[in-house]
Amino acid sequence: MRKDIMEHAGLAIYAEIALIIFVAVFVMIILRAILMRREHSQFLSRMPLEDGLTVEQDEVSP
Amino acid sequence: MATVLEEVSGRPGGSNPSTEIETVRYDDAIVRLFVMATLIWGLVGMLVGLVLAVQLAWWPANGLGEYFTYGRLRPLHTNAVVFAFAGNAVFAAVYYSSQRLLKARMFSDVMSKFHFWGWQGIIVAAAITLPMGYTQTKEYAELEWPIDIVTTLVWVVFAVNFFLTLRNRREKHLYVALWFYIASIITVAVLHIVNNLVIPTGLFTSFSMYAGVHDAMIQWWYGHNAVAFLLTTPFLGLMYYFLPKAADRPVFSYRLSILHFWSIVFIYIWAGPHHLHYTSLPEWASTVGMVFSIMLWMPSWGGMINGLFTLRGAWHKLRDEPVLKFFVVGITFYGMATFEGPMMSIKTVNALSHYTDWTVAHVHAGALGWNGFMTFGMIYWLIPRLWKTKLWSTRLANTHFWLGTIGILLYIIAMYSAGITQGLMWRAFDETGRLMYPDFMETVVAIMPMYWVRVLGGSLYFFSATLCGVNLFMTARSAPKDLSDPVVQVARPAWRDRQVMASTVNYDEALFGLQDKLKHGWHRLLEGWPAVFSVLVLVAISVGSIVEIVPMLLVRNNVPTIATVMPYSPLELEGRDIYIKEGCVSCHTQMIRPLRSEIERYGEYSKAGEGIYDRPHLWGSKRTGPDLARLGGKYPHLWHVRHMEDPRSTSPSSIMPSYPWLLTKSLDLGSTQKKLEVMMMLGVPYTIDQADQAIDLAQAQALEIAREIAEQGGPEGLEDKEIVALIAYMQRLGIDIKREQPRGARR
Ligand code: HEC
Repeated sequence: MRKDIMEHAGLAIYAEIALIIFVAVFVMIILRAILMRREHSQFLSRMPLEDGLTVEQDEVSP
Repeated sequence: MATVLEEVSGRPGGSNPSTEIETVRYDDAIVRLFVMATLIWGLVGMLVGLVLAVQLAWWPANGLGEYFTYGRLRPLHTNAVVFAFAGNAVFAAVYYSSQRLLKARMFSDVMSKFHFWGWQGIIVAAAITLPMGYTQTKEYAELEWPIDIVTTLVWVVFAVNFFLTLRNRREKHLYVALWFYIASIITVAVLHIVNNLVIPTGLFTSFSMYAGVHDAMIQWWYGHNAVAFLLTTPFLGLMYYFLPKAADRPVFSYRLSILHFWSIVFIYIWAGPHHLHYTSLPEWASTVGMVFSIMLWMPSWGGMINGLFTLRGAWHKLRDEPVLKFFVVGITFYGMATFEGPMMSIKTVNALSHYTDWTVAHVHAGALGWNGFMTFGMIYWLIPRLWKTKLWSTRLANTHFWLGTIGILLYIIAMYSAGITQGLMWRAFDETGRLMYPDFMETVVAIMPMYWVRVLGGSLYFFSATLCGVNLFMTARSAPKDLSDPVVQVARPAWRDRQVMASTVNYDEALFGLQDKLKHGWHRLLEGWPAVFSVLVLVAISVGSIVEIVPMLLVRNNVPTIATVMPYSPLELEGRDIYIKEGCVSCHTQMIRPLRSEIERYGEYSKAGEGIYDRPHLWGSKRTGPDLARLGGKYPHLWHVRHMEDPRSTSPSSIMPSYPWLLTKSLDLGSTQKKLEVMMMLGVPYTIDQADQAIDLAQAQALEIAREIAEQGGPEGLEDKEIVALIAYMQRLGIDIKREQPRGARR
């Protein structure tokens, strides 16, 4: 019953649209990454190296 | 000082004169807990693995008792390594690096603690229930439904804590490691829920919502993506954070890391069906799985190259720095495993490799090499920082590294050799066109030496990991008493103020603001906007899942029904549950592939329509013993009694465990009726009468089997023992399609 309904509802088109959007978004993201500005990517890549300025414990302890 | 602050705020100096300073206290206590848990559970998981290796090489090692046979311990090993060892390592990495990348303490200490203790509780529950035989049998999803619910709860708390920390961040941009964490958290949640949908039949028992080929499809969509989103993406996040830290230089190419991330998120989710080549899965699904798996090779190698090239100019540090050694070998194994994976997904290669120990070699290259070594590298880097003192012994860490590496190599070489030997022997024909090795045991005996080499390699790896434990313990002992949280100062994020401003301005200014944001590119806008980003990830993984799974579930002709295939009798259903409880599926497949050698050895290949009452499916993934899909009628009942009591009595060199308790333990029919009722709810065509009389029907069939056993000269009085149910089930396997007519309404 459920299967009959779903089979005849013509849902296949949704899968195709989804697939097209999927590929399009993927291509866009890749282009964006490739075209990213150099300074920006360098700034981003340095992020893990900055933990913030460490404070000596006794400076902050009550 | 000024320069540090500039870098922290990420803006060139001067443009932001009103920089205020905020103090952040990172929660490192929780990281210490996760690190310790990682090591403890890692050692437990590896030890169980070692026991399993010995059990396969030397069957008497199964004699520890009913709870400790190979079939019951194997899921304990895989779960311990995946969820306890790798899981806790991931959490340690997430809690340490996220706080620092976001410049914010975890949102709630209570939630962090709840996450930690909840997760350890789940592990303990697994360690108790799995040996007791409570299992859903689906690989890496064995834990029964009550534990699954707790897991969901703990995961949600973790996710909420993580995302609220994101919201509190003082750093606008999300570093790529965080993307990997976000993708992992979301996807694991989706996978866990979908694959664990069951209907309970008791406190620790249940039937899968899916049957046969559907169940298999969902299971391997899950199984493969558990590998992707628990053992790959979070570890890549770990790599992208801790490798630059340890090498003290930024990652080789940030652009490459973006490509790496999105390709993995978009492609991985499709690859699951490569676990089901040549099974009764529809051909198109398995081809989709293969194509996407091959596509995965490139981004994976992009990631490996990105990792290794990060060390350019720092290779000299490798000589005396164990952390980098572990990372380099770990990343190399990532490259190796992600080359091998796509290769094994090619159908012709898979025809040889599937069901053999080659797969075992593959996963251990990943687990011991990639996950293990990345974890140990991270731990050695973290220990001095978390315990605020020097590592107790760098030499010991180096020893760990070398012994561990030798251990992995011995392990995987042994398993490659075993796997290829098995694969070739199973398919070998002699010149007369008959199987060269018709006796399955010949193919087992041939690889026994390799099983011993694996024991050696595994022992080395285990021993080397204990050295890490010793090192941690000794370092922690000499740690200062006061391990208070590290405190840092960071610039108050200017972008937050701007947001507050933006919300108060009029329409015109809002538009200008948006234009300003878009000037920097929408991708930057996106990554500064975690919620949208998370939704995108969810969409990416859902499309793959839906396109693959939904047609399978909806389209009826994916599973051609076979008129003669009937539901199991009540006794057979009980027998099936004993088969599940004993973990027979960890050595036996029930899926004959349409390959000449398999049809010759086992009989007609398995059809999708045969599994429509199998909840869960029991196709299995490894053949340590022969396939059982067409076992029914192959032997008399008595043979099975003798074989289960002591396999050596019928197959002298068998390595199968003995199951003497099956002949003495009483068969519990207490929930048989309930089981039938749940099956009816799931659409299995039992009648209400059958459910009401389930116990009578089961007892009648048991009596008949027991009588035949006695007639054949076997022991008397087995009619109320577990063995009769198991025999009823085994004799039923694969016989329905041989019938002319559906079996009568008798049962
Ligand atoms: C450690 C792996 C292992 C486990 C666990 C295991 N078996 Fe086996 N099994 C084997 C091996 C190896 C053989 C081939 C030698 C033999 O006949 O004993 C075999 C053979 C068999 C056979 C004979 C198949 C044939 O066609 O000749 C049956 C039936 C069987 N096993 C049933 C079971 C059941 C039921 C369980 C769970 C209670 C189980 N096995 C658990 C390894 C295992």
